[in-house]
Amino acid sequence: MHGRGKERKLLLITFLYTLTGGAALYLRAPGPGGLWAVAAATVIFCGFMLLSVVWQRRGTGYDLYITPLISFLTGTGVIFLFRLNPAYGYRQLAWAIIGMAALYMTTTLLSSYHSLADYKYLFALAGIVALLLPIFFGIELGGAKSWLDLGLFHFQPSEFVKLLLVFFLAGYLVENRVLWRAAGGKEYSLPGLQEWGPLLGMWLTALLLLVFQKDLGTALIYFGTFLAMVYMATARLRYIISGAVLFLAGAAAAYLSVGHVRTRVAIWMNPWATAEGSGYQIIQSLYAIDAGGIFGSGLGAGFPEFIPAVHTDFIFAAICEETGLLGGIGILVVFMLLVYRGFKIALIKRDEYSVLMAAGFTALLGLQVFIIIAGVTKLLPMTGITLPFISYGGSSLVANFILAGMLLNISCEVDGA
Amino acid sequence: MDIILFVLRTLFLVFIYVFIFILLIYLIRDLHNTDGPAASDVAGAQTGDGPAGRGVRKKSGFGALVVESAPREYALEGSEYELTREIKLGRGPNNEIILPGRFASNRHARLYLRDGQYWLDDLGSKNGTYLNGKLLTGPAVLADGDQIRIGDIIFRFVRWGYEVESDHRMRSGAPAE
Repeated sequence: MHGRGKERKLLLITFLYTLTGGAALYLRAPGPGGLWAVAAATVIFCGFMLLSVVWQRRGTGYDLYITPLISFLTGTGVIFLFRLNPAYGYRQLAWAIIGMAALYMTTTLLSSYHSLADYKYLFALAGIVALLLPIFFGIELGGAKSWLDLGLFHFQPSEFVKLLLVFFLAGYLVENRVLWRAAGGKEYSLPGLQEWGPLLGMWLTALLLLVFQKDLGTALIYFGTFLAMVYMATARLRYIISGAVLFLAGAAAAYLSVGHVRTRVAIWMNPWATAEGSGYQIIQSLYAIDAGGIFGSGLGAGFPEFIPAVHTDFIFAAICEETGLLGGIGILVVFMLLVYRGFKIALIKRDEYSVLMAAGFTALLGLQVFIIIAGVTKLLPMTGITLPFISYGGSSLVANFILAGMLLNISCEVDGA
Repeated sequence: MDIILFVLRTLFLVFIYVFIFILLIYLIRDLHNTDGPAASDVAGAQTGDGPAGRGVRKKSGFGALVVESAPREYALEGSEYELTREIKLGRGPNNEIILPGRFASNRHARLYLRDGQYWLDDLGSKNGTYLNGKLLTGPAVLADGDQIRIGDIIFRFVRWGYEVESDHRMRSGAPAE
């Protein structure tokens, strides 16, 4: 009933793209790393094709453009990780396979997602517990204490709490939207305690936890998503304004009291003052982007290894160095199209729960891309978060695949009746 | 060898744009399609009260449900919901019209089209649904101008186009005419 030919054609182009990348890696340094990159391209392609065929069989009306977009981004990530360090590439490939399985599970198990609205407080509770765990049992990696050591791999709960946040906010705002909206009317009163109490509680908890975990980027994403969803639900600019004021106050307080934040800002203002120390990373990133020029040095011909943490936070600098301005802009456009598609899905839905959820997930994704790329290019102070679908990191990749799965669920034309 | 490597590296960059280009063509075509025939599928969609006031108000479809009066704090007054084949009203997110307030049940009432007429049915709500001031006991046919009350919200049923004369049929819940 729904032809998915376009999807498969786009997947094929993605395959050719990643295959070319893999072949270039193999020719540069013949060995298992290059061969595995080619294999990874094939595996990701086959996985997504399989999903496409299964969906066609079932006649589901999932959006045709989400999977090609995320396969393109995932493929780019895997190729660049094989190029940077094959050890990361293998693991990322494994995570991508788990991610595709998670995507499939999401579209199967959560297809009637409307019932999730009933469990919104459970989601809030689960989110808070998941954020609390690393404070007591967590380990610190790269200045943020947000990982759990599960032996085989490190697990980052805050990546999944993002999803829970959107689930909670969508369910909550649908129910209380009208009261929030009324408060922004002519009389200047805030909604009653019972209306904003749980929300403020959730928000404060999240922020406090993240201050303890020193994970600034994630705190910023949570708060941004929260504001975006409140605005979409109420269309009241005053929530954005008061939110921005709150944020500025919080940022000022953090600057004065948390040494970590002050360092980040100092680096941002003038990395050259500490070029051999804390500013080294961002300076190397800027050098790498500059070295790339317009066309880039070519895949595998640059020296992005000089940037610390290039495989996670700074992968965009590596992409810019090796594919140049054109490649960097290309990746940005792909992200923009993904965000466009997300909002398009939100726009065609009729019920507010779906609209809020789709728009919330999309805002979450867009904010994350903006914050990390702004950090890498020194537009904003650097806050360590991952570039969705591209950066190395299992929790992040799987969480984003689930997010994409939810967008697909929402896009499904059968209105949740 | 170097020349092959150069070609591959160039191709890698070119493919990024091939992907974007083809995707854009599809997306633009998709946009054109949503203006055309597909629009009839969504013509009856609820437009008056989407989040952030999205959508255009179009006088198409079957009619509308207009909020005639509601307490100020709901900010609903004057909202218009276009009629589709079936509209569910209630407090839960599963409904097309989500009712705020203390008196609405999760699944409160339902409006549906059958044999060219709109019917109103209570879905076992706690506080009941009132049609023109009388408690609804079973499904009832709606006529243009009927008043539907749920808790403290009053809707008016507006039918565009062919109107049905109310005394042609049995109507429960409607005042005797």
